Amino acid sequence: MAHPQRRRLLAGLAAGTSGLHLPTARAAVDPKALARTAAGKPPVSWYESSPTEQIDKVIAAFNTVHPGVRVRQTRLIGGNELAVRAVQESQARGYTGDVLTGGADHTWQLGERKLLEPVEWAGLGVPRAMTPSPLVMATTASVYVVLWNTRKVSDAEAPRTWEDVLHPKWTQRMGSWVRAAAFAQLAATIGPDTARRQLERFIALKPMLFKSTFPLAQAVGAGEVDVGIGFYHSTLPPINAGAPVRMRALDVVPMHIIYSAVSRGARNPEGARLLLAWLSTEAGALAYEQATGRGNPLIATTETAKFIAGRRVSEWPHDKSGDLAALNEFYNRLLEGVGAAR
Amino acid sequence: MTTQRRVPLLSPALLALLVYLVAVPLALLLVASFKPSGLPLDEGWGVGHYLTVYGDPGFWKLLGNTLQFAIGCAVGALALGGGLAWLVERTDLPFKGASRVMIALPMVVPPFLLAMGWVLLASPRTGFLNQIARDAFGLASAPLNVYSMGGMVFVEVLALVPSVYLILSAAFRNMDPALEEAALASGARWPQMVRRIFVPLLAPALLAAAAYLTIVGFLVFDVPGTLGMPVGIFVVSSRIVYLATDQSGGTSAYGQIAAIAVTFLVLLLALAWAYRRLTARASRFVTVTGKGWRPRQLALGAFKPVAVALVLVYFLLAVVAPLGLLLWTSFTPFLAPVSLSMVERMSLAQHVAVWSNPRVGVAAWNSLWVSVVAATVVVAIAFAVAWTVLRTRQPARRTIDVLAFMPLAIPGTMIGMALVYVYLTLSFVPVYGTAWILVIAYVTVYLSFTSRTANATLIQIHPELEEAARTSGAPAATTVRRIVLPLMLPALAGAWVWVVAHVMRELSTALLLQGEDNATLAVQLWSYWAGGEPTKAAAVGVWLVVAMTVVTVLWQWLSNRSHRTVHG
Amino acid sequence: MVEIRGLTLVYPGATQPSVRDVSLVVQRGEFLTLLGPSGCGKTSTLRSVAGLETPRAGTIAIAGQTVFDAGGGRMVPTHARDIAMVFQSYAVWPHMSVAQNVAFPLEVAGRPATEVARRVREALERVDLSELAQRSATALSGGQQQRVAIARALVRDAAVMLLDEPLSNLDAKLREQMRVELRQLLKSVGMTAIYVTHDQEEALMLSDRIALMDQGRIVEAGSPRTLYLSPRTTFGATFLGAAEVIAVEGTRPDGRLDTALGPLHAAATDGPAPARLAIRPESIVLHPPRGAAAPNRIAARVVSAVFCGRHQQVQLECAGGRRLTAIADAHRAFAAGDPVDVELPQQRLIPLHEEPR
Repeated sequence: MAHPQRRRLLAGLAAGTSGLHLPTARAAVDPKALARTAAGKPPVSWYESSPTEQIDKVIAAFNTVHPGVRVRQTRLIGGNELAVRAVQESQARGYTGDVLTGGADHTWQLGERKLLEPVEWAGLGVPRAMTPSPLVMATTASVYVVLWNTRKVSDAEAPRTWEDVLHPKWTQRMGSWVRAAAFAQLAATIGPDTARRQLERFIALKPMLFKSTFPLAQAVGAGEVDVGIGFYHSTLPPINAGAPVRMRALDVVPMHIIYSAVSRGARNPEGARLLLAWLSTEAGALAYEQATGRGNPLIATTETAKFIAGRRVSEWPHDKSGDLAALNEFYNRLLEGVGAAR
Repeated sequence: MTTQRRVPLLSPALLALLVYLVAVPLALLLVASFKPSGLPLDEGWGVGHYLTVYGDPGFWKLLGNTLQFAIGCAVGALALGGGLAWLVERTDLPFKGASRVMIALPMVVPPFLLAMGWVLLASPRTGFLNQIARDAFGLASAPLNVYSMGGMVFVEVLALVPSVYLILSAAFRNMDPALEEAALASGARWPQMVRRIFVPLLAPALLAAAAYLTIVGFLVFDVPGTLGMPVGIFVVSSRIVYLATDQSGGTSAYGQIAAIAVTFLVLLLALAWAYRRLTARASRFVTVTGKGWRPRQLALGAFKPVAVALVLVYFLLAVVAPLGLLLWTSFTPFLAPVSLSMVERMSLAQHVAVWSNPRVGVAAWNSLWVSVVAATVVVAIAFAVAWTVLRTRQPARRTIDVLAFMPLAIPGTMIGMALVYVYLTLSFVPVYGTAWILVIAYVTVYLSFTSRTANATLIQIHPELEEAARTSGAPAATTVRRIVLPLMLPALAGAWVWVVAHVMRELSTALLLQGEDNATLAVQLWSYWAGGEPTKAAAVGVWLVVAMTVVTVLWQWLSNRSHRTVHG
Repeated sequence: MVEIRGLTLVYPGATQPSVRDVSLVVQRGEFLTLLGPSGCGKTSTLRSVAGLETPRAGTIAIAGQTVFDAGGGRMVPTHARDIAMVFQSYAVWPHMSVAQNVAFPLEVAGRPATEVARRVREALERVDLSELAQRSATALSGGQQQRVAIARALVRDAAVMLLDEPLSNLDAKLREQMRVELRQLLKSVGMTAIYVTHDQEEALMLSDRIALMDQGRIVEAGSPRTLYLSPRTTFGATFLGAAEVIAVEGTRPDGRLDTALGPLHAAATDGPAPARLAIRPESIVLHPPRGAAAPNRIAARVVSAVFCGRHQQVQLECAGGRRLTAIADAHRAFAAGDPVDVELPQQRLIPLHEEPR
């Protein structure tokens, strides 16, 4: 099965069933034994880029299940810097954070450098669908949405498909992340040539560019731009604060799955495994989503999964991360040309 | 001219310290630029990064853009900062103490908050000023557009003026009126005097300021990122940030960043060379001679209200207006333009949330002690550097001078990266992941500005003042303690406050060097902002400014007291 | 008190030495002036004694203690030398009061506070600045600042006081007044002093002995009277005071010396005839033209007469074209073109031999 199709099937399964459950253990690891060992070792260090207050809540939820296992987050702001830090630390002192959470390209890169430890995911009860390789486990995702200012755009006018998004009526009313990663991920479904043509039409709309999708969402709420292509989790804050913003998933939903991995030479590998196993459960995923807004789309009961239910998802598989990089570079350059367009 | 002065041990120790602080990150940067993967400890060598960066025509366009921006900022900041410094120090402008505080305050506002404030004021669609203008004058389109090169230069100049003011005001204050009086008595009119007396005499200070401004203009990110990026105006720093955080391929492209940084190193070396040539005959710039110097105050007469207005307008534009909008934002639940409907939704909720967050308390404490320690250490080192360069003939002093100036050209991300390597390797120095690594990073980063300030100030002090102490029986240490330091104190205190303000607001290095518990207030602020809570970020920003106002007012009060002692 | 031998100083980057092989002895209580044009090395010599410069060769001893010996590698730092110094720019510290300035050397020496207060008071009284003790140093006039500098130097009670053109920044009236005061002050405490100046009148009035310097060397040294009235070199004659120098072309059998102005009687000397003769302008006597031949008289014409207050300066052109400048009484009347007889009195003609090398 071609990868995009497999995803679609999964999504359908997720929508149809009540969610993926922990399969019955075959050579399962005893979580209690793990927890005892983990409690005796240094705290699990988790390299994660979400704000510390949010991860505090996640850790608190984890500790209701495994009270003796301490977890400390080191917040590294961007995936690239997280990966570089892991490389630097491994090279210089032989170990880095126990759990590393980052994008596909980051974890792929770390895997190439042999900095990740293969894990018996099945033994921990992690569903196969979440683990494209023994090295990484899907934890959450950044899911692209279209968002609009409800005072300037009615729900009926707001785009439903990518064709709607690219309509000239949005000229100089559109906002976007300064990276064209959405289109790169779209290319996984519609092919690179079509994706490039769409990007060119998008550029012709002269979108306003934002350093990240968080200020983009804020700008939509303020009326600085009328519509935008952003992320689900970054659009939640203004909505929750009461700003006049709404969002929806488009016909094809590009996204970036965020993966977690256990590092080679981890000082508390047992605790790391426990944390990841918990995150793969419904309870863990929901706790994570409640704290950060980002849910695991492969677990049907999360809001994120519900949001994109029934839609076609578009993402390059984990092992194609190297090729994706070149596409991203190319598209980013194109998007930078928006200045000339103005 | 002096022959050998023996200052045992100081010069080699200082050299060693500077090599450790500056040469090591520099070396790592250069090595990274030649490593294919960009990481100094990886294998292989190659010039690929240089080819990628400099062979890309897009990069040269970027450089052209940035040059425009940097020069615009340098000229604007020099003119405005110099003008304000002159008004405060050389004329009979009333309310000097208050003026000094007002001009120095913008230092503490993190530039991206300043930019955000101006977006709220002058963005074409939602800007407050534009709304007012449209309503008042019935205009069809907004008269002001902050999303432009002009807007970028304007806001950045506002942010840079305090730094320029600091360097130049110290120089102005120390000018011997006899020199100007001689010019006036020879029939020179004011413009001639400025050109032929002021400018040449102040050349060290002016050049120090210009060099600093140019390099900063090339490397600064927040303002061009916030005001230029949305409309596709990109500068070199945007490229550097991209290479660090968004480059595809999974790791930061340190190799390319380093290759870019090399340009600035070369530029900076050229500027340092020019500075040295100009100030080689340092005796030309001596103005503090102990021969009865009381800076002559020009009577403004009819221009007094205009001058006061100028200071107030600057304060309005640089502090009141953007902070007002920031304050507004901190009272609203989400980012929104000023409107009556939003007024109904104002509350203290954000402030309460910020103050009740224990992490904010920790961050504030970190910011406080890191800034105080870093400021004290860096001012001490800057003084030692200026002394060694100007008062001794140690052979290493040129190297010391250049080393002290170089960190300016190293992007914050690279210093962070270098320090990670150094302290990971030197694991017996338990600094990695703690706030101490931030202290070291900031001492390195801010050494450039403080050493320039110390240098420009020491140049103005006549060596005979120290010789008189020596012939009165005072050994070198006593001479420094009782003569040199008191005379340099106003400038050094100003530099100290500058460093405190900049450390409190500095972001890129602090973010890069995050460990588990060493977040500073700026990091916390950014965390709110990037996490979708700009209103909480605004609240933190407001309190940052309040804290700095207290510090700045205190500084002014202390310096007024010492001023009276100096000038009778 | 101060012994300098063979001092040679070369500044870094300079091709010529600033001080060449200078040797000098200053007796206790003596006021010695180093006099010469700019760049002659007088300040460099002074600063070497102070330890502010490091010479290349030579020795310096102060009060019997060797403070510098190039050969033996000994260099006592400035603050450890038994000296006090007054600078041209006064170098009064702007951030201290008058009293604090003067107290500084004592505080640095660790003297107890009561002693410091007493000695400061005495020093300020001596320079007549007692009422200004608490004034900030910058609120003083130039003359007052100079007195602070002097008081500060005096209070140290050092073996020798070094003064680097201390009065050259004052106006003429004040300078004259301060000269007298300064010498009285130093003599009253029996202070040994080395004084640097380019002002000859000052040197003449203040010094016990003058050392004339040019291009790094001491050309002549002696008491003011000796140096002025009987210089031995052309430089000495023309730098200290003014002089008309007349080349001697030959000796006549009757003992008169042949010059461009005609044959002149000069004071008899044993030894060879001098190479030149010098005469001070004030020694030239102007007579109404009489035509009668008399020894050492020359016919001349007045070119100009400039009134200078105490005297007038008359420029004359002699037969043969040579011009002379004479000082005449202010009350006499001279007009351009007047014929006069110029007398160069025999006793006032100073014989100058070849320059000592």
